[in-house]
Amino acid sequence: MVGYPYLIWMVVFIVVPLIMIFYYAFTVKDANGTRFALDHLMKSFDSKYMVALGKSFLYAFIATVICLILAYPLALILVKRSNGGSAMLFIFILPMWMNFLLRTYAWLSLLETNNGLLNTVLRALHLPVLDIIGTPKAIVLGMVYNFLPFMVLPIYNALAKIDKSIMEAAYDLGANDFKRLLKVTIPLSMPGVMSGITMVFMPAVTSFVIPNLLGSGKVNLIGNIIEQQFLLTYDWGFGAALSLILMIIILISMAVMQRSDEDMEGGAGLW
Amino acid sequence: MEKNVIIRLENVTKSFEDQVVLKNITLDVEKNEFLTLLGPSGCGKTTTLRLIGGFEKPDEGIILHQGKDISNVPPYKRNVNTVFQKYALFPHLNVYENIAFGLNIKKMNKSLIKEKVEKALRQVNLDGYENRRIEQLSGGQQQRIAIARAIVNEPEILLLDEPLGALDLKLRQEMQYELKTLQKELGITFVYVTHDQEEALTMSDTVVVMNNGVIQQKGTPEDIYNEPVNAFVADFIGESNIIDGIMKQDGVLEIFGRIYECVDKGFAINEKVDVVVRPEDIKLLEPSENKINGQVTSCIFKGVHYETCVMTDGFEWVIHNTKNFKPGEHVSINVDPFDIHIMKKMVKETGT
Repeated sequence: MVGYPYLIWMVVFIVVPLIMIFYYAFTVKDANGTRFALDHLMKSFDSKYMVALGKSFLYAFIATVICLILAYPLALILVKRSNGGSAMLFIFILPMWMNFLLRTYAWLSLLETNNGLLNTVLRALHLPVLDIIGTPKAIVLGMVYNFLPFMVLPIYNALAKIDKSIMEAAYDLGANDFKRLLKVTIPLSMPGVMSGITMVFMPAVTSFVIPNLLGSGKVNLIGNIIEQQFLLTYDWGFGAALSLILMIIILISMAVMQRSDEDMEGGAGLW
Repeated sequence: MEKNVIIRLENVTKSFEDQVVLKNITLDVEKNEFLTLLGPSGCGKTTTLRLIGGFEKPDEGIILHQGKDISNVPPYKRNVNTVFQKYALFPHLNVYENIAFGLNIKKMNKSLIKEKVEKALRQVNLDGYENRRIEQLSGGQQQRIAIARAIVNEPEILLLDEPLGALDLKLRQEMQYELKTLQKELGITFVYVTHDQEEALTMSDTVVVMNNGVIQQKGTPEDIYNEPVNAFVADFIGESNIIDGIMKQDGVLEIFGRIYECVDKGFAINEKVDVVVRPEDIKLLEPSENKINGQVTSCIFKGVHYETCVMTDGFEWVIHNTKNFKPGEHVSINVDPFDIHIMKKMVKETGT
């Protein structure tokens, strides 16, 4: 009984939209009315779109790796602090309270080639100007900045959950700090790492606002192309087909990651 | 005095924030003995153990291992292993990998590790459990694995922090026996922490009774039980009747305004003392003159004995005997002079 409202929610906001995506992706409208067709799907495999898809995965992958490299040591430091580093954690989470668009616009004005704050400072110091707006570097930077908290939080939680006496047992059995990190801390925090990767990679690979603003529209990622189908060319069918392909690839990559996680004897992640 | 001291704590003081947990403790642990730190929670026994393990550093004083100062040596460089209160097994590793953990760190030869792990599993009666996952084991089995994981490293000293606390009574008694046997078999030093006096008396060669961060008494279980140095030890090690008394002179004691004979000597004339009488040392007889007479208030069957309470002069005695008295019955308290233990008054400390 208690479950029904959630069931209704799922049907209305998840199942119905999914069915509609399938519907638009597999039908075409012409003079004879609406009919089943694979036209949209075939068009999606055009190299132009596949390149955009590839770039999306590459940048999202790079952003995820950078997030992981930044977040893991940070989470370790936070957990080690006497009060659980709650004040520091708060500061790292704080940007999440600000509007996503606002944060991205802020980076735009920081990085702007001519009047941006960063380059004004660099110029004043007679250093070479950094011209990265409109390049993949800016996009990856935007992804890392926006999604870093999603990597820090699950790793922090996983680390905080490890019993202190387990860490002491590792010491007791002769493991120094480095060996303990390698053999106990990292394996036990793998569930957090896996959720972090999922929570950063998924929004990064589908992002269109970050490439739009920080890529100044010069770098077309799959998110941008899908957005254009719905808002510029009004080709909903093609947009739906691209979304579907993106979704399937994400599902496959998550399944592969999950499998490798199980091989490493980690616990359950997001799946 | 230099018998075979393996660990010496010398004038060790330790505080956490404002709380002084250990006050100027000096303690010798001898090679190959089973030493138990016994006391109520918060007495500093676990902190003492953690100092020996290297998980805490003393604020003042030093810890010596065979004469060498090891106060600042980290746990992973000490030839000491710990069995933790909550077992602290690695949940991501199976039984074999848990036990092999320390040997793998030492980069020992794989086949030698296998041999040692199998031997350790045999020693804790869990051979064949190599591939089990930790969450598949019962509490008692996890405890045995924790012990195997520690002893497989062949430490000089094994530290055990209330290892049987989470087990049921039957299993606990079984494990007490097994631990004692294991200690003799291995021939290594055990330092054991517990708040259970029966456990301490059963297993130990030496018992160290602690309270409020101070060692109250160190001795064999028999010494501690039969010759407690103060009323705290007497009360903590088994039930006791503790009565205020005055030593009139050597061998003469006044309680409740009456004079009694005792065997203790060496107190000042008219010194106020604590008089301790064990419940099993009291005989209840017909009331008569010149005896402490009173009335039975309750009599409860406890299995091996009856626990009888008798009220005399406003003091309630606890007596263990084998006869069932009726509440309201008039009786007299009879104690052999040899069983009257006279102790110096404790300096009253708040909170205990």
